[in-house]
Amino acid sequence: MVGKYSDVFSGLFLLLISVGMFTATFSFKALTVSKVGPDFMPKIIACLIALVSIAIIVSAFNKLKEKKSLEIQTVEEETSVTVEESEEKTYLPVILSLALMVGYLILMPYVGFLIMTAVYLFFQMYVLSDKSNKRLVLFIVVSIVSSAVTYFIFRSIFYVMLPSGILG
Amino acid sequence: MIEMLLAGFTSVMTIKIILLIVMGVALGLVFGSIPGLTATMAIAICLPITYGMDPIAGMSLLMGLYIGGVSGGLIPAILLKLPGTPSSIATTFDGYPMAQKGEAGKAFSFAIVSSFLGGLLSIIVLIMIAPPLGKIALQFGPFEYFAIVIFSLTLIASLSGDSLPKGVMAGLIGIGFAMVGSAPIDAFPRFTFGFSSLDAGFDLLPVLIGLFAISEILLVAEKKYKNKLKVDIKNISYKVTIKEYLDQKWNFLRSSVIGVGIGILPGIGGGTANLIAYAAAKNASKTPEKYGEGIPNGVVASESSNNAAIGGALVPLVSLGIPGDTVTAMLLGGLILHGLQPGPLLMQNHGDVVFGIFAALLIANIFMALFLFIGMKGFIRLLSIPQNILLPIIITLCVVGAYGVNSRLFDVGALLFFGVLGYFMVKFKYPLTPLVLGFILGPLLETNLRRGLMLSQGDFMPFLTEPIAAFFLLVTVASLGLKFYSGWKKKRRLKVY
Amino acid sequence: MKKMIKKVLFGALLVGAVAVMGACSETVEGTEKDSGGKDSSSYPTKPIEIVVPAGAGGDTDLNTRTMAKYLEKELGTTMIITNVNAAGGTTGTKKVLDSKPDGYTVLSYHNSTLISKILGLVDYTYSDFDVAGMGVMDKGNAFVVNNKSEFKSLDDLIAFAKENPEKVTVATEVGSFTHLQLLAFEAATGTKFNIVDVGGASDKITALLGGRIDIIPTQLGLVNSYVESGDFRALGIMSDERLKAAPDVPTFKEQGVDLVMDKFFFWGFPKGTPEEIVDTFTKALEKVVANEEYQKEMEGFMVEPVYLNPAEANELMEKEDKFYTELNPQ
Repeated sequence: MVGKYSDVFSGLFLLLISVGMFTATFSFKALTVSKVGPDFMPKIIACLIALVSIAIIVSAFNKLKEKKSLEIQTVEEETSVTVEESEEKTYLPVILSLALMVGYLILMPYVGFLIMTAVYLFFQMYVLSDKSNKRLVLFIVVSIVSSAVTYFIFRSIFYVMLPSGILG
Repeated sequence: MIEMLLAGFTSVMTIKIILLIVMGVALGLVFGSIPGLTATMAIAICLPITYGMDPIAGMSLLMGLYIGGVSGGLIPAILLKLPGTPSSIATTFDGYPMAQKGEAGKAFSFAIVSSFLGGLLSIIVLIMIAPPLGKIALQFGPFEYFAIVIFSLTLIASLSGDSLPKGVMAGLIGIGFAMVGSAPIDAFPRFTFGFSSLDAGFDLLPVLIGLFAISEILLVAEKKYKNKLKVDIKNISYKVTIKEYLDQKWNFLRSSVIGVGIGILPGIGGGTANLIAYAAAKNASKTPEKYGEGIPNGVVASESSNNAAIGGALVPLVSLGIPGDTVTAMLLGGLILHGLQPGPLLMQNHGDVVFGIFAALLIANIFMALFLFIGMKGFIRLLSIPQNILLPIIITLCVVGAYGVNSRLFDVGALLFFGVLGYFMVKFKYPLTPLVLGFILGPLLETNLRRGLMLSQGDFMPFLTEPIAAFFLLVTVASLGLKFYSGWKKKRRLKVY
Repeated sequence: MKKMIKKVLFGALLVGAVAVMGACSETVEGTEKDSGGKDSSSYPTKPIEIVVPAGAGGDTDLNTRTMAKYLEKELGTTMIITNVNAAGGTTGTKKVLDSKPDGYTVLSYHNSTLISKILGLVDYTYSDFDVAGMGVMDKGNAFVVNNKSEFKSLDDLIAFAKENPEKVTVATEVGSFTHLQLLAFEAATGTKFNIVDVGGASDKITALLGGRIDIIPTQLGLVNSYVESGDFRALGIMSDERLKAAPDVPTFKEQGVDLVMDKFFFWGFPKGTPEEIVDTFTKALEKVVANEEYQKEMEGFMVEPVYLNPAEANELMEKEDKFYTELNPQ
């Protein structure tokens, strides 16, 4: 994901966004008679984003060129750095965590805060652990206790109406 | 004056009121220290409780919450790199690196002392010269706000990290996100793509904690947690010499003045004060490159300014009945419900209550520092809780906080969205802070531009000719010019080598 | 394990804190729980959530909270007030509209519900709710000037404005009730102002104190202390009669401008709420308004406790809706 072209990619992406943003402003209607309407600032910001994204792309290409000329001399250094960076990075837990959070959000109105939080906490702790520290019993206890304490304090004492779901 | 203050102290020196202040500070610290829960929320929750009390008791509790809530944010900022509240974003910049170097205790000492002194200074200012200072706030109309926002936005340059274009880009993205929802002034829904839940736009809290807290858990997930402490918590130095404190005196003064000044201006608030003070400290420093690597100056700047903003925000409230931010708006409501009409006559008609509030503030400030000092070693122990257990719990509290903003799940969705955004920004090496600054200041910029043009009936000139506005714009141009000049000089020197 | 200890400590601290505060606030929570029964006529059996689409501490919030305090006693249940302060109140209104019509979510809001629809910002209005009635009206909608102003009366203002069209700067929040007041005033007197958006109630006060604008339309109750201190002067109020609390301020009618605009605060359940539930709520509302203690408290805010039953409230809003539409703020 993060290669040497990352700046080019992000710059291009933002350039696209700015174009989309600019087009969207044409549907804005002013409800008041005024010198500048609700489309004025968005247009300016969209143009600025476009300009800066071009700057980012250009400087990324410049850097790539510089790097190429330097690469021959510093091959060893480069490789050592990349090895360190890619050390034991896995994207599966990231995707799993994200999926957990999305599931947590989507199911909460139906199942309720209390149960969903306990379930989410347990699985999130599980995903974040490696073999050496998967203490499942502890996870279960902590999940249930902290979910219950949070729910009780906020719903019953502070009257923040957290979704009660099937329990309500 | 002194007599009034003494009378104020006698009115709050009852066991009940002291207990209320203590409870307020403690609860405020808890709310402030949990990312996602803020001083605003603590006060909103406790406001109805105070309606049944007498005015001084009720206001004392709220003052305790206010001071505690703003100060509590420093704990997770230093230990976990998570800003507990918008007021402590800048504390993470140097507080966390200090903790990583094994200087968590030192960072706490600096942060607590600066919080205490910053708060104290601003309360003294509030007591002594609130009325004339309040008049200054009245001088700020749309032209002046526009200029001061432009000035603040240029600070993105100092908060950009390695790449200026990327910092500017992050700021622009922040301004862009703030545009989602009803447009200022005519309320036309922008960038909502027909979803009515987007009409209200994004709230600052989900944006902030999404960017900083949710993204953090995704980054941790990448590496998987290893049961290995980076920091040896048994060997943490707490010692700070008097000389080290004294070295900070100018930094402290500058930051506190910035905090009070920004606090006084209605609408800007403590969320920006800490960032502006940090940037100012960095710009004034002879060694700006050390900022961000764990220099106490950064912690001092952030923590003294955010507490100084408390006294500042109370200035227009007490002297004119004008609230400076959401918290003071709620305090205003509290006063009205107690039958006290806030306004220019408040001090005259209800001096007893006003000075009771002042006394409560001073006492709360002391308890705040006391609690933090006593709890310091305990907080550091938080580091010994495995992150794979702590972070998920923080996430669920963030969810509660986001939900509590407006009691709807949309804000929780926004929290997740900004979490993912923050993750990708970190991956692609874009700084997060300018986004937050742009998000806070963008709407102010647009609103005041359009309001100014309505006021001048379409004339752009007053933006340049009104004295205060002109002053800030000049300072902006000058500081940018200086920056480019020194950058250019540096480059040239590099080329010579 | 340590985390758990911490958690328990946090919990204990919170519970302790709340217990102490609760003890201090016994006076508020004097709820009676004597209503029995299990069928639908036993409403309410659990806390009722009141949605206020405005910030904590504003006039809508204060009026609602005061009413809620008395409603708690009448209905024998807790009232939970949720402030949903976003998008000019439309978010909160929508929240109630989308909630279950079981009587446990109710909206407390004012004229803006009508105006949002007229402006085309939303596609629902008061008639999309089961209106439970009204309990308070603010009849102190005034034009206020800085004491240094040359305008001593509406006549001065009208005369000057006619000679100098678009020269008198008037503050408002575009699309709000005060904006409509200005349009109505312009239409009634044939004047033309420079209408400027400065923001909410307190922003208007700041702008008038700072001398950036000539007139603010606002509620007397919100600026009373500035009038007392001699900073501001009220030119008149848009009600039928003078206020008891401010007998010196003349009405617009007296000054020859036939304009009556009151800010009303209505209670609305989502459509489809059982009739007997709305009825129970309405009866409680009526009782509270008849309560002298409540009346006294409301008069302290310079607003008038008035009870309107659902039919009367709907009639009033229908009339106002027509009037506002004719003004056509666009």
